[in-house]
Amino acid sequence: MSTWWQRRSVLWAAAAVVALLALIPLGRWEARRHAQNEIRGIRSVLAAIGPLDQPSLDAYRIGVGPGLDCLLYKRAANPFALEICFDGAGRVVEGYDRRGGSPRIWSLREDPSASTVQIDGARALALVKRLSQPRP
Amino acid sequence: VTRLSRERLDLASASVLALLVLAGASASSNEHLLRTAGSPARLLLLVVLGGLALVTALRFRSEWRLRPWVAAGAAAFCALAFVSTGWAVLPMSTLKRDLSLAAVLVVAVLVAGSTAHSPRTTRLLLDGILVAAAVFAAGGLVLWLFDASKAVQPATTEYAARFQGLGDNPDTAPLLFAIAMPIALQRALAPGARRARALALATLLGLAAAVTASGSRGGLLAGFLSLLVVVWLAPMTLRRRAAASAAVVAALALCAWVTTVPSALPQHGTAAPALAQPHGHRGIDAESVLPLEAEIGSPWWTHKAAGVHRSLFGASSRVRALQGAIHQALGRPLLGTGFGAELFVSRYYGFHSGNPEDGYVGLLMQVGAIGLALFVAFVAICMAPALRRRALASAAVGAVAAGLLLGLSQSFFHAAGDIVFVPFWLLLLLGSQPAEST
Repeated sequence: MSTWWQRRSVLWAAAAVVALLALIPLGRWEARRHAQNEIRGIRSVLAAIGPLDQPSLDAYRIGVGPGLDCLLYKRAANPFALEICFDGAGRVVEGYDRRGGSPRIWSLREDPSASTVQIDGARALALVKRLSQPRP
Repeated sequence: VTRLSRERLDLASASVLALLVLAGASASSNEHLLRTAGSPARLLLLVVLGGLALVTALRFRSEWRLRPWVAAGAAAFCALAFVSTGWAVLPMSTLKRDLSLAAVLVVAVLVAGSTAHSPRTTRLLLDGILVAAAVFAAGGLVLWLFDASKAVQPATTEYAARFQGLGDNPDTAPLLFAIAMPIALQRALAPGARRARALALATLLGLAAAVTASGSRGGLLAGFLSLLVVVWLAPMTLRRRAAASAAVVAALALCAWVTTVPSALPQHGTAAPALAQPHGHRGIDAESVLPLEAEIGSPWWTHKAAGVHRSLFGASSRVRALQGAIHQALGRPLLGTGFGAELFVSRYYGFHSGNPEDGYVGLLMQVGAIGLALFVAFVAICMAPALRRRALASAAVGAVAAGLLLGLSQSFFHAAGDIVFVPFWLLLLLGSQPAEST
């Protein structure tokens, strides 16, 4: 009886360990899927913006969240309609679409390294610097 | 000799637990000296408590008991936390949180196991938590007497002045006080020396007054509703139970009304920020018009006057933040971002916190629906016998109920540095013990 009980306990414990370990690939897959969704959204914002340097570029942010800089583009009467935020390496970590009645946000702020959306970081930083210069 | 040793060990464990809870509270204090001393003392005292619990368990191993399902639940939740480093966004941070949780759970299991056949041990340990809360509350009162500016958060346009005592902010100490309130009530209701019962009642009133003065709505609700749990579980006649319940509800209503008496500073009808304010720069600094950390619900979107009006039942900014946190959690719904990695991005107007201020949503973000379900199952396993058998330690169950209610307004189940992290997990294990422990 005791041996049977012990064997059953060991089997249950082994099954629990296997089930727990099986969660690791599931968790990683979920992280990848989430990153892909956010990246799709960020790319859609970039596509809606078009070239980074354009007349509708009229606002900026410096050092928000984990040290991100942002460029904001005007559409119709909305000066903040489209926005991208990027890190020092030129990785676009967040995208905002404010053309509707409420903002639509795609963000990888919790894990910026997961972003595969790259822009010319030096060029983008130069644009932020230009916008933050005093008016002549 | 053996009996005496047990008594000494129990007394030592209860004393160390009181110091441990006090050290945890001090680590969350606004007083620099207390904070500096509290953090390292907490770790040392946890080790000492674990050592005492181990000695007790080994010396009286025939009396040591823990229900297998409780042990399995604790092990499973802890194991999931560890395994989550495999997909965590911040693996090292998750590992640190895992080790903290594991250390506290191991100590809690060792301590709780020793109470299975010793109601006296349970009573002493609960008294330890109660004494720690009372001392921390008394310390806040002393601070207020000597330097009221340190013990009271001044009024703003959002909040009236709030008593914070020794806590880091007005919502800190009420967490501990709310958990201690049901213990105090149980001690006041339990048979025993009249003086001890009167002292317990006075402590309960003092804790309730401190929670009320803090204006912490979560603390108030958790503290008083957990008193109802004690009343419900306490051995008394139906008529007495109904009278006690009515008294608790009336006291809650009175205290809630008292919190509305102080007023916030008047708001001077600030207009919504203009769409594009002229600045001295070539471009608009969007952060000065529409800051990202306060975008959702911002007057820029709502076109309403700026400012937040707080009221007893108003929770619009909290609800917004909670909805956003759930939306964020659903990005990784099954397993989350890793235990302890509560990567909440605050974007909510009028919400000033770096976490969602909800322990359950916090767990959903960290370990997903699977982890949250495991946590709920573990709590249910621990508490189920209490709901079936009224004789179970009502103080511990009431205190756990307070912790679970506090979880609706504070995120602390994972946070080793939180004022009630150790008491909550320890009380959960104590509450899981069989009926003999009352």
